Amino acid sequence: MAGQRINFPYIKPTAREYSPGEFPQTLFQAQNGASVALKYGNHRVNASLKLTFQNISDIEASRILRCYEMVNGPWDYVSFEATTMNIGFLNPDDYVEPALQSVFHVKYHDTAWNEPNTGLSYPPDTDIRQYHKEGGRTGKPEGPSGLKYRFASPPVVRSVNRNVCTVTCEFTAFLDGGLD
Amino acid sequence: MKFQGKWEYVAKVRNWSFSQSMSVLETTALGDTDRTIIDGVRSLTGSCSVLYYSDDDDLSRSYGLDDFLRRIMKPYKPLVSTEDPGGTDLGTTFRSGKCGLRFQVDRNRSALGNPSGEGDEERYLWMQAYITNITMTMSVGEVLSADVTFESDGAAVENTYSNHTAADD
Repeated sequence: MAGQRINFPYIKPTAREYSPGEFPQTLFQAQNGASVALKYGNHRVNASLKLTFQNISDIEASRILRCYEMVNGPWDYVSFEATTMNIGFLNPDDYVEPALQSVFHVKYHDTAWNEPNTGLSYPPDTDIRQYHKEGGRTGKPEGPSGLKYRFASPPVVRSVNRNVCTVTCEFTAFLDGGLD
Repeated sequence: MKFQGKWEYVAKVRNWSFSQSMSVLETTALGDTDRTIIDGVRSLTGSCSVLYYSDDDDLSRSYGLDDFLRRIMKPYKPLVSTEDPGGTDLGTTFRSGKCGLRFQVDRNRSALGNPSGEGDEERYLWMQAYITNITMTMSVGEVLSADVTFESDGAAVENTYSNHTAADD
């Protein structure tokens, strides 16, 4: 059961930590070290995301708590589409600008490409924002992973000062079984 | 110092200073290019150096420099007690009390070509503070003096250095 989409509050995070998850598999390792992997799927699952919102207002903290209730209560899922969760990342198209190319010495490739110095071939670049969002789209060719974020643990609200809180949220992106 | 609602001179102040500071809380978020902050907690601390003030001819005075000491230095029992403190009881005695402190600058400049004194005001700072340190120094040929540091409990009760409120910001 996929549940309903619940939009995460529009709050800028102050720290963000992401892991793309693992591929479902069991690894068997013999005594001589030889390994065999039994693969159960070719899509990564259980991506994790940790967001910290430092020194936000009480009302923003309560919105996060409310989101937790709405998502994990009925097993709905969190959507970061059009929120500020991905703020700070650049649109890959911006890497076409000469100014940025001169800073990072990289260029976005939307098709398969060869590295000019070595001739090595690489697949098209992806948008890191898409990984973080899992659901939704960024406007780039790669699509959503199909994973759905839910709170891995209850949000932790630390009161810092009058009307000031710091909130930490941890999410796990599940690959929902059954209807979807 | 204030005693039972009435200001009393306890000592001659040789010099005094106060420091008002405020911590800030950072609100910089991902994507910001510059650090952003909001106001945090303010604190008011200060120090003064006082001379022992005692007029031998004025026996009516009941307050003096020792009243500073009394706010921070506590005996196990009143001096009249002959009770020997037990070893385990030495850590528990009377708690320290706050004191009202009023430091003032006399700005009446009538003697400096402003006879009317119009526009002048006395500037002072009145706070409820805990004495956090007192160091008394006595040496031959000098007047007994003490260096006192204090920390305000909350905002200054009243001060004429700033009457600004949030509406003025």
